Amino acid sequence: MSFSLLNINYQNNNKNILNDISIDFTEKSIGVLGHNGSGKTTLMKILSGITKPTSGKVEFDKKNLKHISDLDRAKNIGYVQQDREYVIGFTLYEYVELGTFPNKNILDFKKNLDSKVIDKALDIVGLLNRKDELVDNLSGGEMQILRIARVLAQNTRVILFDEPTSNLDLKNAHKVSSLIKKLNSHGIQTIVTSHDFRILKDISDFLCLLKNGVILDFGKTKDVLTHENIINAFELLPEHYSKIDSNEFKDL
Amino acid sequence: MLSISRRNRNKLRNLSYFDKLLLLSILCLSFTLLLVILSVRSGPVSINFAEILNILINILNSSESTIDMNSQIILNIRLPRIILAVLVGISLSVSGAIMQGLFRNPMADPSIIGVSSGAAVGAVSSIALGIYSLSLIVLPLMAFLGGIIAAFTVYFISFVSGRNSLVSLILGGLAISLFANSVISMIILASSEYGEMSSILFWLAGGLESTRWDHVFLLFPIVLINLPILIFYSNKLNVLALSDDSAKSLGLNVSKTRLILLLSTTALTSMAVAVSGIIAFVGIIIPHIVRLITGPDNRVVIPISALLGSLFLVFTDYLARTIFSPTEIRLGIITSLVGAPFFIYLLIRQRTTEVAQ
Repeated sequence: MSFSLLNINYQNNNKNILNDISIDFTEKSIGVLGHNGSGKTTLMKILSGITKPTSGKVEFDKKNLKHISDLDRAKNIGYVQQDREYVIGFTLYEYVELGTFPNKNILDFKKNLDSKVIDKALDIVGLLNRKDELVDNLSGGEMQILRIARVLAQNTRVILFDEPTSNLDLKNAHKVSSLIKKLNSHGIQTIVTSHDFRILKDISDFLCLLKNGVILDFGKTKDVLTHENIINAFELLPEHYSKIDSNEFKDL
Repeated sequence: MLSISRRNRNKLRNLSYFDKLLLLSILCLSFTLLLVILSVRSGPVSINFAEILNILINILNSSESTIDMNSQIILNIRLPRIILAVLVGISLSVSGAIMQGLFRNPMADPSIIGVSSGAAVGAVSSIALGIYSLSLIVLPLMAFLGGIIAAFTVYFISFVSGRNSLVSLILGGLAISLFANSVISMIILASSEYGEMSSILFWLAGGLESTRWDHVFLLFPIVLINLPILIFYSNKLNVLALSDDSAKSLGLNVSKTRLILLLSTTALTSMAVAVSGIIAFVGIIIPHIVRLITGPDNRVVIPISALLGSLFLVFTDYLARTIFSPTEIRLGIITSLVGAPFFIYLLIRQRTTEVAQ
């Protein structure tokens, strides 16, 4: 599984969001770090195929993503994002079942063909024992973990995570990041965005540094996470970075 | 008490999709059959079962001697009326269930978001303009046109202009309904003949008392085409509960799905309004009851809403005919009397969950 981006541009309301991005994502565990508005979410949407770039070409497994059908794309690429959903009254099980959509045939009347897949997804995230509860009662952090289960039920080889830990407390953020690492060990490629290098330093082996729609650096996380890179990418002033403990970079 | 009912509900919810469908279909169909038999029997003229059977056998033998009054009543008044009740029930409750998913809004319903009123304006204008007598399909076509205009207006209000919220959808629907109703009032005031006026009034609170076979033949093909389409799309409707981006990442063509669902439900609603006037709240009562029993899976909710909806309309029409027999109450009045309090209850419950989040 590999992504290959060639001269990707994206404009919205005459504003350049992504500027001539060319990069190959072949590694198993990749992070995308950038400030708010750097174009992380747009990049993820383009990788997931739900947004078409203004110009340029995305290849997935050496095939032009444009020419892969919606359903085939959904069988290969999963996408976890935080968004408003209208799922009041769903049980956890029923919610995760939505993830089986690309692999489901409506004429399939066999008794709960997907139940094993759904149970397994709930089990991986540790919510199997609560599968008959209603999602209405979940906290924001638990809902985010359930979203991951939904995408797991989609059974894809690649999962994109857009800001998976923002809005989460420390405990749930830790749960999510160890979950992502677990997926890597199961052979799933993960691409994770964040504006917080502390999180990506734990999750991702490789790091892509994004600033104003341009890639500043890409490589092994410890090589990319340098003092200079961070200051440059986030346009930090001396009074900001004096507060960052420089030890955080040493132990990488 | 609450905990017991919740546990029982969960038991049914945990059945597989197919078992749920089978069990509830059998249940609904048998009750509907009972009610149909009861409805054919009763009315200002009571006809016993032996005679009904006799009449039906006579038609099957296609003998020409079926011109006595009782067989006229059965064949040309009661039977088409009951069949139309079934068809209208299917159209309205399925449209409601679909619109709730489509607008991601539990309060959506053809009458509340203004599609029914739009269709009524179309139908009424064709009468006022005098073009309805040109052909049998002029009035339904005008109703569809009115319904489509209303549907796309409310769709625009709800999705294109900012965030899709409970309030903006209901207020948009209210504005469309008020506008449509004042157009209808204007037409009534402008019409000089009493006959024309009363036939226009028919659309404001609908009913089935003037049903002819023509009406059945108009609505039947629309249901026959659209119901399978909507059942086929029920799986996709499930995914629309997620955000647009999530639905797209699951491989759903969101805008195409929305367009097909909107056109299909508008066709069903408009045609139902064209033959029976505005029968409000059916599309909100029925799907909510079904979801309470089965959970939110639209693969079950859509077909079972169709069955329960027809059961409900055959039943309310039976009440409309018999409570004050031989005087009839308008069917649309009964559904509004039941539906409005139900709607208010849902609205209050909805607001509390929104506040709680």
